[in-house]
Amino acid sequence: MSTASGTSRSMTPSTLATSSSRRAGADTPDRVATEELFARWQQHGDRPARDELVRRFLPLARKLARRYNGAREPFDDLVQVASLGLVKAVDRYDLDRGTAFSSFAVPTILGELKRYFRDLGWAVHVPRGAQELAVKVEEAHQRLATRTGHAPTVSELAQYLEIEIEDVLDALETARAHHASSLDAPHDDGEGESGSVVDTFGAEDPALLLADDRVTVGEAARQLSEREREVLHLRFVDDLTQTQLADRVGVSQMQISRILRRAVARLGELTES
Amino acid sequence: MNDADGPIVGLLLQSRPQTLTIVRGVLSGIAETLEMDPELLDDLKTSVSEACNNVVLHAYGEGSGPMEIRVYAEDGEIRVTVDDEGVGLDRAAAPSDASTGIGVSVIEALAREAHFSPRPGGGTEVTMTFAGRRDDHPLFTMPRSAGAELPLGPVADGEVGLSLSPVSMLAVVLGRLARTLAATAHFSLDRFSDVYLVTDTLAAHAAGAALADRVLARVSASERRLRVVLGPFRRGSGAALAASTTDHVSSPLTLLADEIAVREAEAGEMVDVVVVDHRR
Repeated sequence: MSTASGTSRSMTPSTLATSSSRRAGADTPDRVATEELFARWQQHGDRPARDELVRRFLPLARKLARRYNGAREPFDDLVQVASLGLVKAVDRYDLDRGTAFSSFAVPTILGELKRYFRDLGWAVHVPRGAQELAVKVEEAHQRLATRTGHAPTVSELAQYLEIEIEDVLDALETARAHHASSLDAPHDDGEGESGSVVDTFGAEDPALLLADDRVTVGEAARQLSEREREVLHLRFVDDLTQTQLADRVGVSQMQISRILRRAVARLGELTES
Repeated sequence: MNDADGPIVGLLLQSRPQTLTIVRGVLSGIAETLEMDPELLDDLKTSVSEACNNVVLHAYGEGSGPMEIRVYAEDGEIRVTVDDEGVGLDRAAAPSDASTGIGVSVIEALAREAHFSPRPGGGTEVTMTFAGRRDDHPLFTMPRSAGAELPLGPVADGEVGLSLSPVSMLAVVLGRLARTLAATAHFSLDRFSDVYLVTDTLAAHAAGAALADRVLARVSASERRLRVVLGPFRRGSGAALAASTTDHVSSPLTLLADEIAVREAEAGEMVDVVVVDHRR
């Protein structure tokens, strides 16, 4: 077992960053075997040997940090947390047990990363950041759409925000889930209309009906709410894109998407039966 | 739990780096339908990504080959298998300090149990089991038991095979899969949003028309073009989906899709839908 736990806490992640860039001293050239370094540190308290071990395995810590790198927390913070885990692993590693150091270090470092998220009160990798990211993605969506005159692609959003496609997709899911419960919440049965942001565009053209051949749904359409019929009409009869529709109506494309989704689902139900 | 139960989700695709996004998207979809604890989902995503990465990087040398992921929801645990038909993983020979060894360590650190076994006929199967309870609380909602497994058959490059049961999970899981592919095929967000409507409509159809409590899908995407083939359904049931607008009732699908076809297959009827993003 490690014989040097008392001193280990004095090494903070920020000093690690320095030790990784400097040569640790004449007696720790790269050639010295990992086992030899562990022996020096654990049996003789040789600190340069410990620094060299940490330096040598920092890429492992970075690799693991990258696995938890969302769009929320600075990557450097995660590297620091992972490095702290690495220091713990170096101090606790038992050379005599015959397992490779990396097999021992990975669970220790992952444990440190997971605890970091838990201490912050976040489930690893999810909620709070997802909400913030959803807002950012929607802002970027509006900005790019205004600039180019058409809706961006997911990869354009990812590029613009310098995040992964996967993060944009997650943010879009979050945004929809969020809108579902807030912005256009009233899910009435098609009769009364109240309180929703989308009511605002209802009154101006009462002639908007789905009488058109392209959306002949007869009785079914009459059972949809007025706003549902209007959105369907604008989308499928007037062939507006969702972005144009959103512009016309003064709500976000995301909200239009939700209204359409609900209307089409209801239409489906009605025509199936 | 019955041994005859198939996976709730099976996914078959070619091992390519970009397939990881697809696999992770589908896992998110599963998590949504099972109301899964976020940390369990994160462990699942990380471990399954490692196992898939291993296949992508090592199983087929410089090339690629089939990779199949199966997710089982069992009493109190989630089990995932990742199969390949590649050169085989000789763990003893894996250099433990090299990057290849890290993936294995990560899986072993996050999964409650992990096995790496050679498959008869070549290739490797990684089996990972994750605890479904923490501090006596369930970490996911058990779905209705899954129907027997159906073979997915070979998939072409760029094509994804999906096997899913119970059918009630289809809207979310197929939705995630199709949207991920639409994103990689450079759909604008307008048309991307229409994909929600298409998969919702298909899922609603499946709920009433599926022949068994399992459906198979084949989803593929190329530049601004997405194709979903779904079934098997009761013979004759697809007619309503593809109903043209001259009828007095038209299906929402006819408003949204560029092509709708209903094909007879041995097992039943398959619905074949193509969505194209025409805008520049």
